[in-house]
Amino acid sequence: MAHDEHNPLTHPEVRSASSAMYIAAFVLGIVAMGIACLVTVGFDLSQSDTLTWITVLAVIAGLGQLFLLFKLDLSKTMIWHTVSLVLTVPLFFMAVGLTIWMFHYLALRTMVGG
Amino acid sequence: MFVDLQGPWNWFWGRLPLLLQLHYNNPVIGFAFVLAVGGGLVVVAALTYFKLWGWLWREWLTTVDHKKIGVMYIIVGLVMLFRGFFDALMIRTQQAAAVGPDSPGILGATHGYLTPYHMDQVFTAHGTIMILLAVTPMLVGFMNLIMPIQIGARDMAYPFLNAVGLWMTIVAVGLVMASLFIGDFSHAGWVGLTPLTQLAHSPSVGVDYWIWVIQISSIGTTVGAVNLIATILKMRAPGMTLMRMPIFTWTTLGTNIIGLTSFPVLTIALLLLTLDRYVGTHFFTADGGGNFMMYTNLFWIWGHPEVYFVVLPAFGFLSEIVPTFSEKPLFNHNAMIVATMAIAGVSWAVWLHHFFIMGQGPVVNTFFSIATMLVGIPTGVKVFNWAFTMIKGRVRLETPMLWALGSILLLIGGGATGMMLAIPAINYVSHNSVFVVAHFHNMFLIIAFALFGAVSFWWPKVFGFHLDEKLGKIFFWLFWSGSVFVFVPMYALGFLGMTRRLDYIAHPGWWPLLLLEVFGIGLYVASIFAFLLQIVVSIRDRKKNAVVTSDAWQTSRNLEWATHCPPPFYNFAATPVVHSIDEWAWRREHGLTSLKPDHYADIHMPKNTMVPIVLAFFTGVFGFAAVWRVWWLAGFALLGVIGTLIFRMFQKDIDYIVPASEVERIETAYLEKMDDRAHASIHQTGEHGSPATQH
Repeated sequence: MAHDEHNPLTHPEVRSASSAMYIAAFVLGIVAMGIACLVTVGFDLSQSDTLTWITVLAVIAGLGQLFLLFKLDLSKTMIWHTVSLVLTVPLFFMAVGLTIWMFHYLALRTMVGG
Repeated sequence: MFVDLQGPWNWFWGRLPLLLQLHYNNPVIGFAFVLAVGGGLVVVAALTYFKLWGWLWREWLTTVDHKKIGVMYIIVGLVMLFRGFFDALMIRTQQAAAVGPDSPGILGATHGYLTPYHMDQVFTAHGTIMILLAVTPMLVGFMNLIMPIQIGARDMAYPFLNAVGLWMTIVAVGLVMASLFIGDFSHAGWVGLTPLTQLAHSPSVGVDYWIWVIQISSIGTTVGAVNLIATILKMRAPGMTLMRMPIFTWTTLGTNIIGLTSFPVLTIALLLLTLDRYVGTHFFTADGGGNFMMYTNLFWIWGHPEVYFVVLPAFGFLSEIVPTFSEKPLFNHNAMIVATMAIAGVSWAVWLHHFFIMGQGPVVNTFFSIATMLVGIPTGVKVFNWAFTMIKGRVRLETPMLWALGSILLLIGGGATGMMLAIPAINYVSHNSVFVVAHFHNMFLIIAFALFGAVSFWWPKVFGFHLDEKLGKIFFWLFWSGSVFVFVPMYALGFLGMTRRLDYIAHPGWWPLLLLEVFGIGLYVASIFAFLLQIVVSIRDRKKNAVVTSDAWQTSRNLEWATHCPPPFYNFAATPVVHSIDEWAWRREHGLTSLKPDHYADIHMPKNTMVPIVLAFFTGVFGFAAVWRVWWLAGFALLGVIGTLIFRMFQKDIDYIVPASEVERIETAYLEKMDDRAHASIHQTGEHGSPATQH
C-alpha cells in the first residue's frame, strides 16, 4: 500500500488548493458557458462561425479548469497528473480528428447528421 | 418532469407504479426467480447453519487484501458467466424452435417460446453481462490476484480503492439481476442501438437499467485501472525493472492504460444518452438536431479498445502457461512486450471497422481497414513466440496447457475471420450476419479458454491444492466440443445469409445447422457440470492433491511461485530482490529456492474496512432510484455517497504493523506445514517431494 500521510489536509494536492483560483475557474467556466449560450441560442451566426466560437470558448474553459482548478504544472506533486494528461493528448486528437474526418465524408455522401 | 413519460409517475414512488401494470405470469421469469432466490436462500441457510456470518464479514466482505478481492471478482464473474450462459441457452433453443411458418409457439410467442420483446431483452442481457459483468470481472480478478505478487508487492497501491472497485461491480451485478424481476431490461442490443434507445422508442425502464448498470460497473473498472497502473509503476520490488516484468504484468499495464483512456468515452456517451432520456436533449435523437450516428461512433471509440482490454490479459495468461508447460523460457520476452504495447496503441485507431457500411465511403474505410489489419502483426508475433517457445521444449499436456493450446488455435481462427472482416467489401456482404457473431464469439472464446487455463494454472497457488486433472480434461474436451458445434455452424449460417438477433427463422433450410448449435450448447451444459464436479471433487481430495512446495508445477517461472501456496496475507516474508527475467526460474537454477529469509522485519499492512460496502449500498440505492426516477431517494443516496467518502478521508485508523516476531511465527508455521505435506506426499507416492525449507 502506498501512503505516507494520514491527514488529508496535509496532502500536497490539498495544500496547493486555493479558494481564489477555484472561484476564478468557476467564474471563467460560467462566463464561457454564458457566452456560448448567447452565441447558440439565437442561431444568429453561420454554422462555421458558431462552431468556431464555441470551440474557442470550450478551449478557454478547458484551459481554465486545467490551470486554475486542477493546478497542473511540472512540480513534484503534479508532474504525474500533467504527464498523464499529455499522454492522452494524442488519443484525444486521434479520436476527435478521425471522427471529424469520418463525419465530413459521411455528410458529403449521406443525409445522416446533415 | 422534463420529458413526457409513458405510464404513471409520482414524486414519491417515481415510475414504480409501472410494476402494477406488468404481468408476472411468464414461467421463464418464474423459473429464473426460483433459481436466483432459491440459490440465494441455500447460501444464506448454509452460512447461518455453519455459523459463518462473522467469518464472512471479517475475512471477506470487509477485506482490502488484493488476493481475496481478486477471488471475489472471479466468483462474481463466474456467477454472471452462468447467468449469461443461461441467456445463450435461451437464444439457441428459441432459434431452433422457431423455424418456418409451421413451427409452434407457446407462452405467448407465435413461434418458439420467447416473444420478440423478451428475446430482444435476452440477447441484450447476454451481451452486456458476458462482456462487462462476467469476462471483465474475472480478468480484473486475476490482475488483482496475481499481478501484485508477480512484482513482489505486499498489496495494491490503493487497497481501499481496490475494494471500492469490487463493490461497484457487485452493485452493477445486483442491478442487472434486479432487472430480471423488477421491471425489464433493455431490448436495444448490448451496444445500445440508436435511436432505439431513445425514450420515444424504449419507454420502459429497460434502457435505464442498462445505462446505470454500465455506468456503475465502469466506475469500478476505472478506479481499478488507476490502481493497477499505480501499483505496477510504483510498487515493484527492488530489481524488478520494467523490462524484467512478467508478460502478464505487462499485459495488465497495457490493458489498464486502455481502460483508463477509453472508459471515459463510454461514460460520456451514456451520460449524453441519459440526458436525452431524462432531460429531453437531442444529442442522439433522429430529429431535433440530434446525430444518432455520433452515439455509434462514441460507443465504438470505447468499444474497440474494450476488445483489447479483455483480450490482452488473456494473452498474458498464455504467456505464463506456455513456458511453464514447455519447460522453457518464453521466446523473445522483449518482442512480447513491444507486441503487447503495440496492440494497446493500435487499438485506438480501428473502431470504425464496426460500421464500415455506414456510408463514409472508401477513403475513410481504407484507412481503418489498414489500421485494423495492422493489429495482425503484433498478434502474429505473439502466436509465433508461443509456438517457438514450444518448439524443442518438453511440452506437458496438463490441463492449463490444454486450455492454452485451445486458446491459441481459436486465435488462429478468430484472427483469420477478423482479417476477412477488416476488408470493407466483405463487410458489405456480411455486416449484421451471424458470421460476425461467430467471429466475435470466437475471439471471446480465446479469452474464456485462457481464463479457464488461468483458473487451473493458479488454483494451487491460491488454494494450496491442485484441481482434479481427470475431470479438468473432461471439462476441457466438453467445452472445446461445445465451442466447435455451436460456432462452426454459426459461421456457416452467416455465409448462408442468416442475420443476427432473429427471434424467428424464416428459412427452414437452416434448421439442421441450428440443431447442431443446440447440440453444441448441450455439450456446454455438460461441461458446466464437469467443472462443478471438478471443483467439488478437488475440494474433497484437497489433502491428497495438496501442493508440497511453493512451485506447484515444478517448472513455473515468475515471482508468484516464490511464496507459499496459498500466500500469506503479506505475500512475502521479506521483500524479494529480483535478479532476472523469470526470477523464480533463475532462483531454481541457482539453488536459491528457500522461502526462509535471512531476517524478519515489521510489515506495514492496511486494515479491513466496511466503508466500501456502505458506499456500494448508497450507490445501489442511487442506481435503482435513478432507473425508476425516484428523485428524492436518488438525492439522499448521492448525499450518502459523498458523506461516506468524506468520512473515509478523515478516518485515521486505517493501517497496522505486523511485528517481525509475528511474521516469523507465521512463517515458521507455514514452513513446517509444507514440510509435513512434503513428507506425507513421500509416504503416499513413494516419490521425493521438495520440502520448502530445502536449500
